[in-house]
Amino acid sequence: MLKLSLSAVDYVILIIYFVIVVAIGALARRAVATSEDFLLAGRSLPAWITGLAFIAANLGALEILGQAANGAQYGLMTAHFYWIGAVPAMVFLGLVMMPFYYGSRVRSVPEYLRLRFNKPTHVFNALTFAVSSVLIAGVNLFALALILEALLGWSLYFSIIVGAVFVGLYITLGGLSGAIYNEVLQFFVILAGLIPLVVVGLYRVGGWHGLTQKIEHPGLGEHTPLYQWGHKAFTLWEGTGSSSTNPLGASWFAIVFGLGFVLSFGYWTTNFAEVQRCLAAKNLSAARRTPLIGAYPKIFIPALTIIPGLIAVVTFPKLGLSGDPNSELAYNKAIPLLMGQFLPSGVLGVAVTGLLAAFMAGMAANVSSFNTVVTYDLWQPYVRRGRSDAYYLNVGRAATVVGIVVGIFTALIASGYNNIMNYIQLLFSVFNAPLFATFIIAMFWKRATPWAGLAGLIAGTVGALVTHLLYTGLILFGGPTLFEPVLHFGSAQDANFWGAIVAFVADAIVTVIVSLVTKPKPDSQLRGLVHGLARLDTREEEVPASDRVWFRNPMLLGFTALGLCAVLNVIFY
Amino acid sequence: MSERDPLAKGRGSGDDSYGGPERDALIEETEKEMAEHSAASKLFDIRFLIGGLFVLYGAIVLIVGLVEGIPAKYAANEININVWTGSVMLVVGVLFLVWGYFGRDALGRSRADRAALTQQLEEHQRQAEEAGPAGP
Repeated sequence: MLKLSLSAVDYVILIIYFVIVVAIGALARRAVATSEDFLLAGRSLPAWITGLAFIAANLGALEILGQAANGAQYGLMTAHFYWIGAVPAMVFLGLVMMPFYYGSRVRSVPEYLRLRFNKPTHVFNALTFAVSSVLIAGVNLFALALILEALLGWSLYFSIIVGAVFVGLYITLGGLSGAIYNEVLQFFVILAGLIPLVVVGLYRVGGWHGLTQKIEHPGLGEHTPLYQWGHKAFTLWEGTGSSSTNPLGASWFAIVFGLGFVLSFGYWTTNFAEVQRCLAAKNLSAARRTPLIGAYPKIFIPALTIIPGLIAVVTFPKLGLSGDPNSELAYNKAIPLLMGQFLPSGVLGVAVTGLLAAFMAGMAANVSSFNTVVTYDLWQPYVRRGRSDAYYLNVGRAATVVGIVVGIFTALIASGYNNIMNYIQLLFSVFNAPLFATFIIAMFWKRATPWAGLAGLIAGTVGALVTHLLYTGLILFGGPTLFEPVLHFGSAQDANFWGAIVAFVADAIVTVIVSLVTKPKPDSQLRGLVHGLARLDTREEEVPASDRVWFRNPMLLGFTALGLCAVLNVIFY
Repeated sequence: MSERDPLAKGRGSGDDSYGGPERDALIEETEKEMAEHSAASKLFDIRFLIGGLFVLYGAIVLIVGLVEGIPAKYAANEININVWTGSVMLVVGVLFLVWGYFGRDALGRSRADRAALTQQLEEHQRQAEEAGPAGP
């Protein structure tokens, strides 16, 4: 039985956290007087806070449980998600793209498309983002409920409601400041829960050496598939010449271009739930440093997700063997299983609290970006124009409540999907992957025309959807199989990488072709939005004296992070 | 698109000879309100909250570790993880409190600046009290 035996002390730790979460919302409430105070934290936060929130917003349900599961299934190659995927994309966002986002003073990512292209492109992107936000919020809420049900024995529906009420309370009160502050707090609590787990786990299996030895030399009996790869479970690039000779089931090309270039850049540089944390920074310098500061914890998070996955494989050699995502030994349960096995009362309370906090933060990030897009990108420009700012502040609050309520229903959709990881991958490949092509062309090719923006986005979305359908043969939302799958890939992840490549290429080709046959915008309307056309008013770009010290230099921060990734790739080649 | 359309104004209105800021009407609306009424500077300092919570959690976990020792169901040569985690959390919590107290605040003001500001405010209040009798 997976249910953890929490003692009174663990419950005390948990209850204190729930009280603090609401207190943060209530205290942040005093700092909300205008719509931008509520939706963008008044653009007033220092870089270390937005940087940690940037990474914590992503350190949610799917990241912690999902990457531990990937670690157990694919071994150390899962680190490609971090060292080839996330970190280079975050550095690119900070060094190259942030001046266009923050410098143009847009209030959201879709708003950049409104200024750069036209209203149809904007509406298309704002609507797809709003829909994907509530769908993903639902997944996070469902995952939160699953863990409450599994660990504490609460009923699924009761858990969904409890999670939704607390998240709703602190965002409706404190807005983005409340969300960001909770993310920063959650970041430290989850570290305080996961680090002891890794320490005790490694101690038990005999350290790193014991871990590698036990997987390379398994005893008799049935073992999870990772064992058959032997030492390849601990390498990054060996056997990536073909998709069938490595645990991840993906070739170096799919890893570098699909995962690294398209999927990760798409997620980290265009997903408003992430970029919003940068826009909340107090100036351009702090906004650029937000993803760069976030990159450093990101480099080391594999130690807290992938290593527990590997420890779980050694501790429970039959992990994931049944292939049933609901079984007691499913890959997704790696971390909860280890917590029950290794952590005594006390630390256990901190770890459970950290997990629940992570789930809430994941949902809060989606809801707090959803309400901003609804207010600034849908309601203000297209539904009710020219009202007072106080009116839009109330729209933002109402949108938060609506987002939470819709999230409860999308959580029920997610509960109908037998593997939530497949569901979330579908959402990302359809909604996120095409965006990067559009943004990179928009920022670097001033000839790209307004209508090309819309056409490219639609082409990319359709391309991703078609690839996914041809691979799975499934209709959306877990319906019956319509036809036999016609595409075959090395693994579900490989399919995911190639889906992203298809979306990117379709989007890029259509954007270029449509641009060549339609009329571009005059340069005067593109100032500050496209590379090579600087703003005439550069007030925003001035770096305050206090930010000119060497350790706050974005170039230095960015290239040091890339250097660290390169070194790690060499060490674990 | 009519002349009144707020989306059409702002950005489109300037050609290259127009030296003013290239602004979007909707964004400008929000920023004007921000400049006049924002309460963002009233946001509390999260460092005290992180510090306080970690001191509290650290103390709880440390005490559990000291009182209960290593629970019997774990191996006898096990590290006492509660003691280690509790101590480290306690130290981290204190560091956050010290940083919050002595470091610059969210607005970049040093401790001396803040002290001066507080003194100024108190001075102001005292003068106001001396100036005239309060109450009915």
